Amino acid sequence: MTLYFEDVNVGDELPELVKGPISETQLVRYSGASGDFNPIHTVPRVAQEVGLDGIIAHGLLIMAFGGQCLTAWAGAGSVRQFKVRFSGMTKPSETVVCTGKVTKKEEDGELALVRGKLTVKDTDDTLKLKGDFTVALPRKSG
Amino acid sequence: MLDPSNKGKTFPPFSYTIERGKLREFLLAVGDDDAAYAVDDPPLPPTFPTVFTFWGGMSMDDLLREVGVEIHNVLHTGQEYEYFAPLHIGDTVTGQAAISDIYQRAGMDFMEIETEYKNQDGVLVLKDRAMLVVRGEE
Repeated sequence: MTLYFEDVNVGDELPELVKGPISETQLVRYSGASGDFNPIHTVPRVAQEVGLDGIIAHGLLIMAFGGQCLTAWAGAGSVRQFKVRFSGMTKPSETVVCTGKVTKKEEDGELALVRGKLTVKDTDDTLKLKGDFTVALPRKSG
Repeated sequence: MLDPSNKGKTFPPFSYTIERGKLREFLLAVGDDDAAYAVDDPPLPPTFPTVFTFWGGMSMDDLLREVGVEIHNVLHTGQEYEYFAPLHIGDTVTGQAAISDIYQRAGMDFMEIETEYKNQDGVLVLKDRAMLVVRGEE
């Protein structure tokens, strides 16, 4: 269902998106898909050699979950800007929850823009990343 | 400490052609089954440009080494994608990376690398900003 600019209000919360549990296999898949083959994401021995107690998820995979939260709400292809700050590491078997909130609506020429904030936390409420976004939405008036 | 005169330094351009199979592989890895991507001319997921960087052949290792930094001392602390025009399957994007900021705070070096992407028609489509912190050598 299309989300229209007129349907959105400042303070609206985005539908929560739950992702996980994250598996080791998913990290292998994301390494191949993204091309980020840093072995701390897939090879336990290397992760331990750099002082971690096991492999960790790619920060950019967690950001991709945040991106999915945005597009599931506003529509694929709607995102104009998406910025995050990484806060915590995520390990396999963890489940994360993406939430967001609308902070501003503005019309810039032909564009109807909605801005907001987004966070990804684990199920213990530990922050993984937080960020802000801008999506462009269609108007009902066309 | 990083030399602030590296601010503005640019790196060799690199290119990537957007493939349908890579889009499908990316969506499967993320676990996104939105039917909006299963059409002839699909949009791209917001963080898909990660693929441009890594598969387009930009070597972050080489880039950092040119400014005297080893990649194992670098933490990726933030990331931004800003879109200016739509991208399509079959488009070839060319990325040009530059050090857009360098500063010190609390004894640590901070660096931002901005990559501007243009499509095959020379139109600016995307800016990718990676925020990095450089840890001191032990």
